[in-house]
Amino acid sequence: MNSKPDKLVPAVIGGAIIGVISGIPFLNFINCFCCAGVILGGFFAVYFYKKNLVDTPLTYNDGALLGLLAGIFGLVISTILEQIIGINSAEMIEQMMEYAEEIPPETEELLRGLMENRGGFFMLETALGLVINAVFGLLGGIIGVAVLSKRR
Amino acid sequence: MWCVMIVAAPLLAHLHHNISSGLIYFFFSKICHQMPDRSFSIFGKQLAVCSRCSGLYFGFLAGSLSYPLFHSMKIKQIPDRKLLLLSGVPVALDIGLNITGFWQNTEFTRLFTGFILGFTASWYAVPGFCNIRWKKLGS
Repeated sequence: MNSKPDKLVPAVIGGAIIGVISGIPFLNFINCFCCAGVILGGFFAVYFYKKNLVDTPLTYNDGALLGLLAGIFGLVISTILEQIIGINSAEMIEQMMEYAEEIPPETEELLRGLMENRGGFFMLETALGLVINAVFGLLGGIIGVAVLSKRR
Repeated sequence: MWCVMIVAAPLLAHLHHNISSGLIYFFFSKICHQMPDRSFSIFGKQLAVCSRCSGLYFGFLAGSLSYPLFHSMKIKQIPDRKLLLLSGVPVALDIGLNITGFWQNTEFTRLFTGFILGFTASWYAVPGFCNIRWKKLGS
């Protein structure tokens, strides 16, 4: 019976790709294109996993799990990177306010409210990041399996 | 749900539900630049995402809904991977030619090129989602 290779290492590599793209300023603009960085991370998690597969087929379950894990690891890595680089959420809000005409007034109103509770803002941002990374990571993993699996 | 949220944000803003509308805009601000001049508007309020992202998401929705019309849901039918790359060419051209000054893209070219990519991408994702639903994750 063939055993499947470990999923942790490819998921961490995929997460590192997501983390670097999401955590580094300017590079994170890639995510403005429908979270392309997160989709790419999920895709590469599948790619690196497939490299270790010998006789067992690549399944959509593998891809979904790899993409999901890569998305979660990506969020952790990008948060750590942001702390190392010194990106402060509160400073980011202030910068956004400077370009207030670029954001919808409803968002601006919400952000002004959140400025008063920075801990709450961090929690909200992390929760939203988790949903977004999970959804797009999973999508990247599934597309990865569809593109990388052998044609019959 | 995703596409409903995109349209719900301006509708809720129009109805003065600013907190719920703001939350949706804030959610989508994580994945889209939301520039007003690059977004469609309804009731004088912009959609939660720009025109290209709108095209991608609504294209993905249209592709997912049309998938059963062209393919069997039981058989994993995936188009050739070249088609996915090919569907990204109009987006790349629209962005590239605009940056280099050879072409001035519009809201409709951004919407249309995004729609093509989103529509095509769904045909790679739908078989996977169906396959996961029918088997238990991790089995």
